[in-house]
Amino acid sequence: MFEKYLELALRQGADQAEIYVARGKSLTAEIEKKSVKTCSSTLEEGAAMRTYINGGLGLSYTTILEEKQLREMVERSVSAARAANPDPEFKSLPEPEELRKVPDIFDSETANTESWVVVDLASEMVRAALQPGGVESLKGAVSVSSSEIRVENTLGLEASERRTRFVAWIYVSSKRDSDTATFYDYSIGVKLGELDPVKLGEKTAEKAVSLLGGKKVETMTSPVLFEPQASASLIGAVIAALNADLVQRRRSFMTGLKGRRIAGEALNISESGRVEKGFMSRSFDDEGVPTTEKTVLRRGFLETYLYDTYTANKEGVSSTGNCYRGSFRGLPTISASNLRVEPGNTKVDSMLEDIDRGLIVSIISGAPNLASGDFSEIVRQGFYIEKGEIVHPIKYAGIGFNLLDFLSNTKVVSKEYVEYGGSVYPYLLVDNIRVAG
Amino acid sequence: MLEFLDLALAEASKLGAEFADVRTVSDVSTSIVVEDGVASKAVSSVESGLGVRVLVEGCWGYASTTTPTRRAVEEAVRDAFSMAKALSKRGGEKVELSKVITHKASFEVKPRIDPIDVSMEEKVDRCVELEKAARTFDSRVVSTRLGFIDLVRDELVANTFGAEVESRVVYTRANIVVVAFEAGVRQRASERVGKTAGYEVFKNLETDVFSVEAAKRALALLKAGTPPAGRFTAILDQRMTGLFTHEAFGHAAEADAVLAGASILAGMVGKQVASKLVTIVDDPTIEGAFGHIKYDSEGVEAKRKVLVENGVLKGYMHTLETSSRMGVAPNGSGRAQDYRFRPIVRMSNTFIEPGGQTFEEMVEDLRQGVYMKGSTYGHVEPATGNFLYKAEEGYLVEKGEKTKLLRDVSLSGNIFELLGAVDAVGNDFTLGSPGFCGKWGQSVPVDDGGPHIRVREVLVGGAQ
Repeated sequence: MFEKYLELALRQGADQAEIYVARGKSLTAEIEKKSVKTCSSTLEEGAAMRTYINGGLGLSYTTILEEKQLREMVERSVSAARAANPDPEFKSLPEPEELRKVPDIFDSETANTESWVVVDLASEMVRAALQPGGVESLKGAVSVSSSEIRVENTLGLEASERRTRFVAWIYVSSKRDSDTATFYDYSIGVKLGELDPVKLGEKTAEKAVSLLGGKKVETMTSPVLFEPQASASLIGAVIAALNADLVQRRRSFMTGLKGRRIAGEALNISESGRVEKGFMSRSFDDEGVPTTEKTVLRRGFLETYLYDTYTANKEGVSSTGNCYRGSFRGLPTISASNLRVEPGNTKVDSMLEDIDRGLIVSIISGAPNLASGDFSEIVRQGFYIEKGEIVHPIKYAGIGFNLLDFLSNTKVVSKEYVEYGGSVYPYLLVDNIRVAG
Repeated sequence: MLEFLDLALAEASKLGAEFADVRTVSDVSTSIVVEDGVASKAVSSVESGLGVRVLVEGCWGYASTTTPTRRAVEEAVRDAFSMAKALSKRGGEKVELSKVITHKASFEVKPRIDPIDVSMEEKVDRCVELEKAARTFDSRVVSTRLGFIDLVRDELVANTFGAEVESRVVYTRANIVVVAFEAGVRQRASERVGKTAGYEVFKNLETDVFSVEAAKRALALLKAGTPPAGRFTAILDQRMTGLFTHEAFGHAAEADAVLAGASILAGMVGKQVASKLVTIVDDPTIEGAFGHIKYDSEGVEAKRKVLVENGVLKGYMHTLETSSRMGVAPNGSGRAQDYRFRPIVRMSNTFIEPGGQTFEEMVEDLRQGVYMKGSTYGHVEPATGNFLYKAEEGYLVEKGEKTKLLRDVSLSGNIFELLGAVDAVGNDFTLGSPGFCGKWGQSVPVDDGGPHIRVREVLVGGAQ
């Protein structure tokens, strides 16, 4: 479809070229305080062209997909590539490979959602969240989007696919006298019909109320039970550090650890762009490479980093299909798709019973330092435990650790888990966490 | 897209909207990344689009499009209208607006060197030169990354109140991250520069204050110790002061957060919220500052706002809607990232006003404490005022002297507790943290700063 622009890039002096075209529509209903506040829609299309000259990359994009603007885009891309430094590490854009479709990543009903539907879903979520006594205010949104992605390059690669997604999130503030607490949760997926706004609103609100009456805790070194949402944040950070570009540039604390044992036996993590109905699922990544399913951590051993074509070529391995673009606007990067932390055999109740003195941590909102792996955070959503029983919610408690210690101190993985759009996160019991009161 | 403005407003009025505004945004931008000595990625782009907002029976609808046709624009207006209508039918909260008319106005940042006139080759060479100074500074520097962007943005805002504001703003920003490694320890440090100005910002940048400074800091941190945990008196440098003022205080002073019941500053106007030494200002009028605007995205003149005066809360930042709901005058704080987003309450350049003390005086009469420098990360819950900030580096202060270098120093607590505990405010004011502030999925250019401040008995912690 866009062949003539690829040819134009070659004629202008590019060694290789690629065009990425995205067309998308999204609808969002936003919640503020106690009602649905705004409804908005975005209709956008854009094309981005990557060209290479002696390995130097030029990128240009346009939001107007007309002959004139596309030709100008090609010219700007090629002249940027010419201006860029040669990069001997660049070998090639990906060659075409056979693509196998991932089922159920497009739902036409979701794609044709009308605005009143998201307004209704958001309203239902609000009503449910206002049920428990003590809920003071809400923030949140329900949004749905559909997109069509197309990738073509001068090696003959051609891939296109339609995808749909929904995101619902809610942030609840609760209040009793002068005491306040907050909780946050979300639901993501491919089919809007699978969103349960009542359950999400209700559960999040109940939790926000249950966190009222928080007290400070004493400084100690203790076991911590991370709830699935907190596990998702921490495991997400660990996987972000497996970005091969960060590793090759020695900007990740995971540098040099491939093949080594970095975690307790209990931890098995896989990453896949091919989970049915997975929020991050797609048949091909954002440079057209087929996505894969792979084990990242097997019984504590680090099996692989995550690669795109550039970083894979640099190491002489195959791309793992993890090239990612947030939109046509940015440079491609590397990102994980759906993650699965393999659930264990132990029930949460018996994990709790084994804690003589420690914490439950419900939410982690901070970002770790990926260069060092150091992480510290003030926990505001969690509970203090003594002799296997919840004693009281936490007002705030500082926790700090290095992610490598977090991994090696993860002793038990629960049987129960929460699924976020095809990603699976159980509870994790981690020993020896330093807690500051 | 400009020709579609009148068309969109007329269409909205015809459908029966009480109010409508339209924005067109056209961007021309460059970005360059240099990693480990190679500027192998150069981006050159143009983008334009139109966003329309309508108020129907007190409810908002918003739609945007990148398609520059009469049909697409009319469809966007009808989409926005039907969404507002859907909301209104389902009992959405009713909105009124402050009627402020700017009439015809225009505003232009005039760069000394227009980035559009500078070739990509020249920009790439300059990036490489600045990155090289950090990379080759010491063999323990293992990784460097320099990011450069410039943006020329033409924007037009018009509404059914009769406002019509045209603007051209030029942004130039660069940052560098340096990672140093030695004996199993890996540390990073960064520097940044950003102005509403042209290529001169980058051309005249000195390697010593940018590249070499970041490298030196990363190297020093290799030998740094871990901080003590517990309550200490802390001295915050200008960047930490700025981060705290923006994150912990500024977001809570946004009127939409106040109205949503998500701010600890709700109902506090006229009350003492900080030590008498503290005056906090949000000032978009500072020319050249990264958060500089003359009119906001609603076409309202952006004003200097004293949020806290001598410790007393004076007011909040407002859009047309929040000012109407609170019965005060709007102050031009409604900003949108681009045509895809509706305006929401945002900060511009936020800071604590300078006081009378020198940094040396603050250190001298401190027997034991921690000096925190440079911000890396901050998190706050505006509803409770609880926060956590991490400094890039820190020092122990013992018997009136700066002693051991520390890394991974964090500061946490509650905003009122911290603001109330300020016992010294420095005379050494700088604004110096140009960046992009995120809220509700939108990001806008802002800056923050202040002088050194000293805070009694706050919670200091570390990673280990």
